[in-house]
Amino acid sequence: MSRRDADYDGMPGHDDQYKTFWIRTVASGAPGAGDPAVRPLYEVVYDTKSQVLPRQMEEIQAKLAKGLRVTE
Amino acid sequence: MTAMSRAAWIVTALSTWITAGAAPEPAPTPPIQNVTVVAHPAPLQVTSLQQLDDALDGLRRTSWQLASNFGTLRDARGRTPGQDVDQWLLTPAHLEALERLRATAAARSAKGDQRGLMLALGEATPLVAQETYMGGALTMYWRMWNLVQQHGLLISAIVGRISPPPAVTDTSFDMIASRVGQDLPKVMAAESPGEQSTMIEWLNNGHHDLVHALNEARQRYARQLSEQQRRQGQEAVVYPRDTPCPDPVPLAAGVTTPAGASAATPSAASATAATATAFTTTTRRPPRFAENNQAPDSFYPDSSRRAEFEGSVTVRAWVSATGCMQQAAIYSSSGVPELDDAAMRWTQQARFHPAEEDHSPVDGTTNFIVKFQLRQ
Repeated sequence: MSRRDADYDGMPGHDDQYKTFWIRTVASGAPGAGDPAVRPLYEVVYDTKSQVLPRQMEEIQAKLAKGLRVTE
Repeated sequence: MTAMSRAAWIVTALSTWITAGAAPEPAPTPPIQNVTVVAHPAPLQVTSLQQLDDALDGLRRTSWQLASNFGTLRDARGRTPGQDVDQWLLTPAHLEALERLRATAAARSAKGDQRGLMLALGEATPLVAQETYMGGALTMYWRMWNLVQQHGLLISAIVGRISPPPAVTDTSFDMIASRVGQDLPKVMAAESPGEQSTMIEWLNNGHHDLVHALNEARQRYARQLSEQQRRQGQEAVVYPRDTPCPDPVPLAAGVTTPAGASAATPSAASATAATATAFTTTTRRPPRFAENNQAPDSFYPDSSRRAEFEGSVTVRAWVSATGCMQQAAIYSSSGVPELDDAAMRWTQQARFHPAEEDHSPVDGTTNFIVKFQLRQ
């Protein structure tokens, strides 16, 4: 990975006021035409202003992992 | 789920990344939080809808603070703060009950039914009080483990420099840590204000005992390392005086030792000092502190206070015949670089009476202990 971002730590994030919550994760696409080890990665962001709890965000994160399909 | 319906989904294509070969970065040390903990929970009474909303908002905030500030920690039970939050705070059943009471209170308020509103708020009060107590107790508990981690990192760094490395075992720490962890469910189960006060007190005591055991262990290893360095002939860094010499302190009867700083008691440290300075006559007196020295407490670094680092630094000081501290060195470290620095800064401004030989002032060396202690 050429870049690592502190927000990609697998933990749900939030703003300082605990008003906005988000999940940042990555999804990989199909192998590229050249090197099969090289896969395009997509940044997946979910955010909400709902009054959610950590466990609710974790549930959303699990659904996100299961439900996301990269069709390209 | 409401949260899902309000969600904004963004999928952004990024540059092509190679998934393999990324070295994991070390987990950052969780920051020490300034957490105010109420030792004895105040009685809580929810008397308005706004107050209920604020209380619920505060409880959600506590859940997030615990989960994200202390997220990577593990306690003696091997559990994470997130697991405890999920188990104890705003559980689905509690949250549902509180949201139902909130809806009832809002409906009654809209109808102008003041009595009905107060009944619903009165029903919510014990639930909110219990959640507030549990949030405070869990914050105390995980703040303690955050400190344990900070202390542990420092101890590991010291032990890693001792040759051969000693086996790091601390029975008293293990016993306290295991006891506090095992009894957390009892703390969380306390319901009456009296029981809750007792449990908070108990948790506080456990915290102090654990931190005390860690400070003792670190100090022990630091002393061992300092002794090893002296045996190996490693020269301590000598800090020359960084300000002009003060006016000589008149030699007066009586010696005042500032609180926290004391002339080293007869020990290996002072004996070595005596040998090094060739104190051969019985009429020789080493340098002493002058009266009215500032207490070292005002040099206690805030970050060390927050991390609850305590320790003793043995300092060796060279004092001229005019009572001017010419240079000083750390003879035995506290194991906390910040406290060692603070002891050195204190020494730089300390006033001394010179050593005496046959009642005449002479150059001399003295070892003394500068102690940083948060509680007696």
